[in-house]
Amino acid sequence: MFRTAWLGAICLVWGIPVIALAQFEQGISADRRLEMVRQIDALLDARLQEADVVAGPRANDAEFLRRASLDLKGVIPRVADVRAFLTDTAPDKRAQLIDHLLSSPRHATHLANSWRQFMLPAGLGLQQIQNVAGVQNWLRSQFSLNMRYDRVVSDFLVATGGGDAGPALYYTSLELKPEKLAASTSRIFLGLQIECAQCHAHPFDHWKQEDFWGYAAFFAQLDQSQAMNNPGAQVSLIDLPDGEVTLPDTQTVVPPKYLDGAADTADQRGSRRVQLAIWMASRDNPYLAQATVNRVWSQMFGRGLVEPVDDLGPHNPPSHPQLLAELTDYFVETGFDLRELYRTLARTDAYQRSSAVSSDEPPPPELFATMAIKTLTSEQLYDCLNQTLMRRTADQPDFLPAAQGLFDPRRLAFAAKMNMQGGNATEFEAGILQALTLLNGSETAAATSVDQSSLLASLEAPWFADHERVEVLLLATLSRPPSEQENATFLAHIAAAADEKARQRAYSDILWALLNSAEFAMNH
Amino acid sequence: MNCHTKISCCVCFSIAMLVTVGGCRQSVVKSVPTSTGEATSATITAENAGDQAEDASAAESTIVGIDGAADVHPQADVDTNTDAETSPAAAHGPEAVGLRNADAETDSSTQAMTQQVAGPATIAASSPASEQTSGSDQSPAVELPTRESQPRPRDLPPTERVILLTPGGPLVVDIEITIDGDVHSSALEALVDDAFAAADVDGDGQRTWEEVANSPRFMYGQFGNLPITDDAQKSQLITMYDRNADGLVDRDEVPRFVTRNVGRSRSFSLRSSNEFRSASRSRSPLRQLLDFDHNGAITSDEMAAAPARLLSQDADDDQIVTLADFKDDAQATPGRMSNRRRTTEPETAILINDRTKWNSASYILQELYSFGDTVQASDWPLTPELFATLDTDRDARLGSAEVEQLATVRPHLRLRAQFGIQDAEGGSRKTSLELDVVDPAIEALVTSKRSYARRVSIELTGVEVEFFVNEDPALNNYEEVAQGQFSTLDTDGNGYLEASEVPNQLPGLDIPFAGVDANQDDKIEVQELANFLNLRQRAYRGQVRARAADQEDALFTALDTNGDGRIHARELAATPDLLAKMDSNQDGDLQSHEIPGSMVVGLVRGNPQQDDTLFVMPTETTDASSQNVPRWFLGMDTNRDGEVGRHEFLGASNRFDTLDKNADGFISPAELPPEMLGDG
Repeated sequence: MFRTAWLGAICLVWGIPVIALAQFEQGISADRRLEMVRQIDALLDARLQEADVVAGPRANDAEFLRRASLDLKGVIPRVADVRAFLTDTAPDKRAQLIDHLLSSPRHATHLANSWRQFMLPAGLGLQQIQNVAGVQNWLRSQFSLNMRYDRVVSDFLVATGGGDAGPALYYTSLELKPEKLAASTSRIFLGLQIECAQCHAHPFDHWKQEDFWGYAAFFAQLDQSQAMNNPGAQVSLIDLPDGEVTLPDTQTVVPPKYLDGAADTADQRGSRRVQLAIWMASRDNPYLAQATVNRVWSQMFGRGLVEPVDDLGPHNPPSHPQLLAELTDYFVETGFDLRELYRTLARTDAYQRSSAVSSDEPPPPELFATMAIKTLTSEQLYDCLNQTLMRRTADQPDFLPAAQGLFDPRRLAFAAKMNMQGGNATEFEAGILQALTLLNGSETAAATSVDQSSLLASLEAPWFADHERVEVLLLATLSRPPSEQENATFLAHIAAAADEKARQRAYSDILWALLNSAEFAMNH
Repeated sequence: MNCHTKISCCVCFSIAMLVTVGGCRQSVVKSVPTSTGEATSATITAENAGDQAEDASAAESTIVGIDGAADVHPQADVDTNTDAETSPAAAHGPEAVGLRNADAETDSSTQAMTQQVAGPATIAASSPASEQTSGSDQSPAVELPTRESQPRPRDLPPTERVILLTPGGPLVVDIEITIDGDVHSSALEALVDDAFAAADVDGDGQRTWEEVANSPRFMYGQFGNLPITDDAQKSQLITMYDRNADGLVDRDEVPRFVTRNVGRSRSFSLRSSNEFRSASRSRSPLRQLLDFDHNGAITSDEMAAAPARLLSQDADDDQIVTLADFKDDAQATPGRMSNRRRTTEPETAILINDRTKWNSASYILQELYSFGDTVQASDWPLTPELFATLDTDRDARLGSAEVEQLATVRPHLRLRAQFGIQDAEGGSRKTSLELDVVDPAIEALVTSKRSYARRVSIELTGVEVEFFVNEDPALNNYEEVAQGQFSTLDTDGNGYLEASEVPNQLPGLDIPFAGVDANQDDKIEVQELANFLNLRQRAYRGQVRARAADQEDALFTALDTNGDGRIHARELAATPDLLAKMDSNQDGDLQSHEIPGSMVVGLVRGNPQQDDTLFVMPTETTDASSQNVPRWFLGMDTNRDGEVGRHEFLGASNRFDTLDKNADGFISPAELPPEMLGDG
């Protein structure tokens, strides 16, 4: 593995495509995967036993389907998909579902979305939309090919523009400043928060000022191409032959130094960024694989093995050190295969536990006794609404540019309104604005309007019985069939309607209530 | 040109003016007929046709006394326009005849194919020579043709002729355009007439540019010109528009003044956008996606794998693939026509009229079809009859003289574009488009023809052509805008606006008070405002611009069989068969040249600055609702492909199987039992 990684890195320098190499070296055998899955569960269970906590029950099919769709595809399942899964009798249907979700084109989009959100946390302001879109499109194309993750990071770091316009935009959004690039890249790729060390020795961790500036020195020789001054031109980065950083308020030049203290770079070829990229992807770098594994774990389980996810270090020990170490080795073994990592985690028993808590006091979250309830990002919420309400695509008038995905103005407006500032996935930090938006906002109003809602219009099909209509509403919003009590309540509400118009309004009321329920807005 | 010529030109001109002032000028002014076939057009275009041209031109030359070279100087100024398609705009009127040769020399653009707006003596717009020579009666050669003496217009209305350069050969398309029910040149002509008449501000019988620059009827930009705010602008205005620098407003100087556009001061113009000429098929993004092993051809294995490969690009997982899913372009607008021209690519279309540069046209044909050599019959597999018709000396090659007959041959297609037609109740104005295939040989090659209100697409062997019309709705809404402004500003509600109610300029409209107050009674009524806005839009209403281009991805448009810009589930399923059918030599590989060409021609009307939003193909498809489809069906059909697929269906699976009679995975409206139709 070491040789392969080093070979790949050398190929990077000399420009030999390493795709073929990567494809042979990626993936894992089914047996090894199964072994890892069992090991994860074993280590978690051992810890539970130590703490004398009982693991929660297994989630039922509907819960699992909804959770897996949200985590792997970014959106709730369609009604037809829910029906198909619930009536499927294959014994390994959950594993099949996971494979199906991971191979869907939406998975790549969802990954790109998630990655973009922690890489560019500033959000989707309209002035940065080009930067954001550039980064996201680039990420999506890498993820849809299931490119090795270490290769993705290397390509990202050495991007110059042109076809890699996305990463180049990331660089320019940070103004090509070495200290900003150092702080940002260490956080998002290596899970290290070293920006404290910019001015003084890190208070908790072992980073010194020289360490920070030694890392920042790798970004010291960057410039933007001056050839094109017009705003429409593509960004182009160039590596200069010289440029240094100094300790702040001094003249002391700091030479480039890798974060793990590895030896110097004096006799290595290539620009400083290339050297950094080689080190990033190499076996000598203990941080990349570990940080990635931790992030993916936190996306799936709502909480990383180390929390916060971008602050790994001796001051912040993992909740399951052996698990983290073994999972990191496994990830490297698969060839930094992100899809495999998601697949392995999704197949564990721990991932398939219900989020329901039976006792009065919930167990400590770091034990993973039950599945955590995760919030949806505002964009995810919008996409779910879209899916539920079956908005007809291509609703724009002819000669306006068709807004798709990232550029959909309604999506942007919704995301801006609902933007939750907290980074923690398990804390629901919505305020009055968000609540009112969901209760009364234009999205909800259109969705539940008797005239405009496609979903409500579909319910008019003559071959639906009333209880089937209620079932459709539940399947479309909560991805599960109604319980006895819910059935009774809703049917009574419909029966109380005097005429046809009132009946339509009754369905609209039910839909509105479901959209505003916590069960809809959460990933549980 | 140098000063000497200019001075001599001025002298001659002045003398000539003294000689011919009065009656002759009256007749010149009056002679603005609206239909074709008039003699002077014939005289101009039929330069090849001999004597009449000489006589008529002699007659006209005596009026003005300018030799051919004279107007070159002012024209040289205007050659700096960036629009490569146009030659200098003006040259209407008497000078036009003499200027023909001069234009050929001085025109800096290599592909100047423009239409000439009728000047006083040159009469109507576009008539292609074919309309004239087919039995027209030339007017008497000597006397200056006036409107009254024109022959009656013939049965066929005037058309513009465009040669569309498809991969298989040129298609001759005659386009008949009406604006508000009249032939398209009349709208702009009427505006020019009005402006010309209004130019005599002080009523002394003389129209001078000084008068115009100082007149409140012009200085606020009422006639579509730029507002004149200071003296420097006045002198700039005069310099720019008084092309023969005689201080007087000539009718042929007016079109540029009212359209403020050097290159497009005519009622019809064509821009050939050749950005995707070769890329459309050979560098089609879809072809590259499907050609997984990058060997340049799509093999039969790749054809079978095509649907899965396409679906892998469906980023939002709605079972629909659009062009934007392949391209990196973050904001791809489906159906937008490219405006870019590359000097290294051949042209897409040629506009044929009296000002066509035939040696350029000949060169274009050679470059595109025969690699620079003379064109032979085998170079035009789509239109061999056209070749035979043109090849009059039967030497199996087309010389440049023979190419000139393109102006007179019968057309293959006839397009009728109507702008500004009011619907029956006199409500909103619409545009519409109709296409007729008039050539039987082409008719035999038509594999499909789809007509919608504003769009027509026709598939021939080896090429698909789409025509569309579009119009800026802002052209006709001046009444509403005026009402809107009024209700906002008329705070005391007395029905008119006083100077106190109006800020310096009407908000958003950049018009000072005095400009709108036509009768200068210090009150602006709604009607005055509406008239002002109306007048300002008149130039845009009188001009139609065409753009011809290749589609960006010919393979995508070929797979998108219903032409709505999206490949939906049923089209995806049909892809392998369609690809196999395209393989014309049946060798199992689909090469780039076997992909049918895909071209678009758009005709728009509106503010030229909005062209990039107007030149977007309308995505009209057969609306399912027109088929009496129930509301619930439309509700379930989320991706709007007219059918409900299994993944869109909301009911139970066995219910789907009951409704899907032919078990193809889609419920189409036809499969619904009759009692369900017409419901809701």
